[in-house]
Amino acid sequence: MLKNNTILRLKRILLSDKVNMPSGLIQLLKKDLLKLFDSYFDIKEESLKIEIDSNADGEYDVSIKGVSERIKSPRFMR
Amino acid sequence: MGKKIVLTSGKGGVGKTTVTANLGIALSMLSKKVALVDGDIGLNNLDVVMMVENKIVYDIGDIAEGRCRTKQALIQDDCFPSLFTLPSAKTMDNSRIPPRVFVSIVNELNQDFDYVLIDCPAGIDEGFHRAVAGADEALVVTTPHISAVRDADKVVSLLSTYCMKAVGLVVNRLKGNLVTEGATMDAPDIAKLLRVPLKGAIPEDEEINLSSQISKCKDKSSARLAYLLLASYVDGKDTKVFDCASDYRGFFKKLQRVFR
Repeated sequence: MLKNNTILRLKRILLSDKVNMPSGLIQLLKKDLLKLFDSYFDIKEESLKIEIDSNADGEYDVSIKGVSERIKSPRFMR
Repeated sequence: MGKKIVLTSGKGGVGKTTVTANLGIALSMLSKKVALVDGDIGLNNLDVVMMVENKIVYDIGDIAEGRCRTKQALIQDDCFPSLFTLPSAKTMDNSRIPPRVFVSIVNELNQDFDYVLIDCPAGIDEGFHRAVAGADEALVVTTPHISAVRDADKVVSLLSTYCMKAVGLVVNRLKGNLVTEGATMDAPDIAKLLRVPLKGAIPEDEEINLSSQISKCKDKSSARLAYLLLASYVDGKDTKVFDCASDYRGFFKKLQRVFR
């Protein structure tokens, strides 16, 4: 839904304003996570969602959600 | 002693002046004595929205420089005898009305009025400081647009350094059809993001765009109802906020809109 995307985008902007978090941080994190997940799952970039929020204690809530159709055979099991 | 409320936003063009004027009108409809102070020195528009621009003899600059008394500069509204406008100085250098003088003018008005509403200039520089320094409560005005909400968030953070008794949010120019379709944020969504209590939601209304004043709108106009609810909230009589999407939910509501 468009509204949810707007809220998500706005949350990111407000958070980066407050904690001086570079707006590209999520993109960088996403890129690194995709590299990591690619060793274990078939995962599409658009299905990986990262959300960083701040809670009342000033800590960061980081949530990562992704959808994969297939688990790859981990290298150490080969 | 009344309440001194500043209406601010950070971003320009969100409707601060229109909200200030119409909240003043709505409060005077509730039989309150209201003074509207144009804090936007040099870019004054409150006089135009209140349709008193042809009646100005003295302005806030004349009070500041001792050419008249505060009461002499006040302009009484034609429709609401308890509503007055204090116009700002249109040609004056911003620095010639220091915050200390502005605060003393607002405090003087506060002795005689139930509400002193200050229309704050856009931005967060000297003009913002002057307007906010005169108030003890703040209403942050925003629209559902991301840029306006972002600026409102910065203003809310700044206001926390001014020891305000209360800070509330007014979301202006909400389009009920877009809220229903999930295409834009609703007022409670914005209040939750900004962590500020929602005191008013004002729908986009063609009548307000044309006349700028709720007193010129039809009795059943949604903007008029929304401003009256906002005034009741500000006055402590009610805590209801207008639901801008109510007209767009359900088949019968849609039919009612067609035949209204």
